[in-house]
Amino acid sequence: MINFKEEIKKYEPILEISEIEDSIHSTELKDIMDMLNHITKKIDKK
Amino acid sequence: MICHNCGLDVPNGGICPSCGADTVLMEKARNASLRQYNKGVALAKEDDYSGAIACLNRCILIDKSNYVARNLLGIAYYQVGMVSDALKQWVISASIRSKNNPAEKYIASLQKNARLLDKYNDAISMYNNALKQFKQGSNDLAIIQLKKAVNLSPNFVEAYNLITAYYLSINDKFNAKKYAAMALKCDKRNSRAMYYLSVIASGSADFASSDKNKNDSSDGYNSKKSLRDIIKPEVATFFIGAVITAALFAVFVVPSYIDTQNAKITNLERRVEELLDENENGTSAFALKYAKLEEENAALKEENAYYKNEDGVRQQKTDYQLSEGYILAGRYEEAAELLSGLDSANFTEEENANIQTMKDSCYVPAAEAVYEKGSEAFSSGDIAGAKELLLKSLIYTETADFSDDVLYILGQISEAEGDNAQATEYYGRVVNEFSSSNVYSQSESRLQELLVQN
Repeated sequence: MINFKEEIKKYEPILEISEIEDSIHSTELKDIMDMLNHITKKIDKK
Repeated sequence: MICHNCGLDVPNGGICPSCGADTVLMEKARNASLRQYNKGVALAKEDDYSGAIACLNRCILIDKSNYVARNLLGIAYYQVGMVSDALKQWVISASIRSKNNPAEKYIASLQKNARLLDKYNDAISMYNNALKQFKQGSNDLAIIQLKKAVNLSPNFVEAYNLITAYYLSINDKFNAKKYAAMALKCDKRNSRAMYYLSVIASGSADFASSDKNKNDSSDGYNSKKSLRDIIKPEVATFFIGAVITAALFAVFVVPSYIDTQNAKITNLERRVEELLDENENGTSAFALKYAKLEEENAALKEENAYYKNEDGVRQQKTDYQLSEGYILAGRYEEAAELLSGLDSANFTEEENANIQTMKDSCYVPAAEAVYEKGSEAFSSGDIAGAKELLLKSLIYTETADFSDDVLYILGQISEAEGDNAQATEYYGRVVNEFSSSNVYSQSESRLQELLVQN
């Protein structure tokens, strides 16, 4: 009834407990507010 | 206006003199973040955890420091079995704000129950292994892993979805429906599970036909479809089928039934006419039977009459013989009784002559005997009994020397009964036939009196 191979591609592996630390460290924790700040500063410099 | 970047109070908004941030823009971004947070809260309250996760992720994408959103996001992840993601959010939340932050409690509660945490972690490992096995084509092994995973973590929504997808691919609708329902039990509006149910209902795998103009979640499925949308086609199909069946019935079955019934009515009417006709001309079965019974009855009556007559003749013969015996025994009264009932037609000429001889010998003594009885009865007041006996005496003989007394008493009886005409006759006979009677003068006197009265 469905194309299982195509459907499988939509599924991503889930974070395991042992991977939490690495995941947090690799997350840059930047958000849109940081981007807005960065853009505003760039404009000011110009 | 407070600068959200450095905390400086910037009156009238504008660029923060301390950090250079645009406070107005920052405020707008923050409000957008809060809107997503509020939406996430509302969805979480409705048990739509996948919807809440999407909104809260957008919230922290705009404002990473919203630790409250991260706490709720962690709870939403926990509810759908993604325990590691939950822990990650709580750890980040705790790092953003360490004091008065419930994230610490959430982390501590999980760490206290290490066995439970292991179970959740094993479930996630099995899920990841199953995903690899599916991609390698080892579907049987993968499905075993997934079923073990959901045993360890009963809220593991993604595992349920993956099992559902597998069963759909092998056209096992029953199990696909079962596991999709289990996913929706944990996450009420999980878009993937709802999509699979719609595929089962429609029997189609047309991705393009899925409605994408409503609020799509991040995985591309319509997160706003409800079970009512899935069930509707089945209900509509049922009602359409029922209407068509009723229409076909009305067109094909009902007219034929009516024709059959009309034919039956016509046949019955014809039969009624036939029976009426037969009854009128006597040819009906009933009429014929009745006529036959009448014939038989008449024959039986005739036979009965013959046998009665035969019996009567036999009785007469018997009485004749008895009367001979009675006369020989001197029982004249009984002999006279029998002889008076004999019919000469039943006897031969010789017998009739003998009968007459017997009458001549017994009638007078019999008449005297019944006269005496009748006179006694009259004296004792038994008028009816006296009348019967005296009349019998007259039958036997009217010319005996006591017959005048018989007539006289009968005259008295008739007077007592009020029958003056009869009394006149009796008295008249005494006067006319018995001139030397001992009751002549009394009879004459009574007769004259009666004639005067009339």
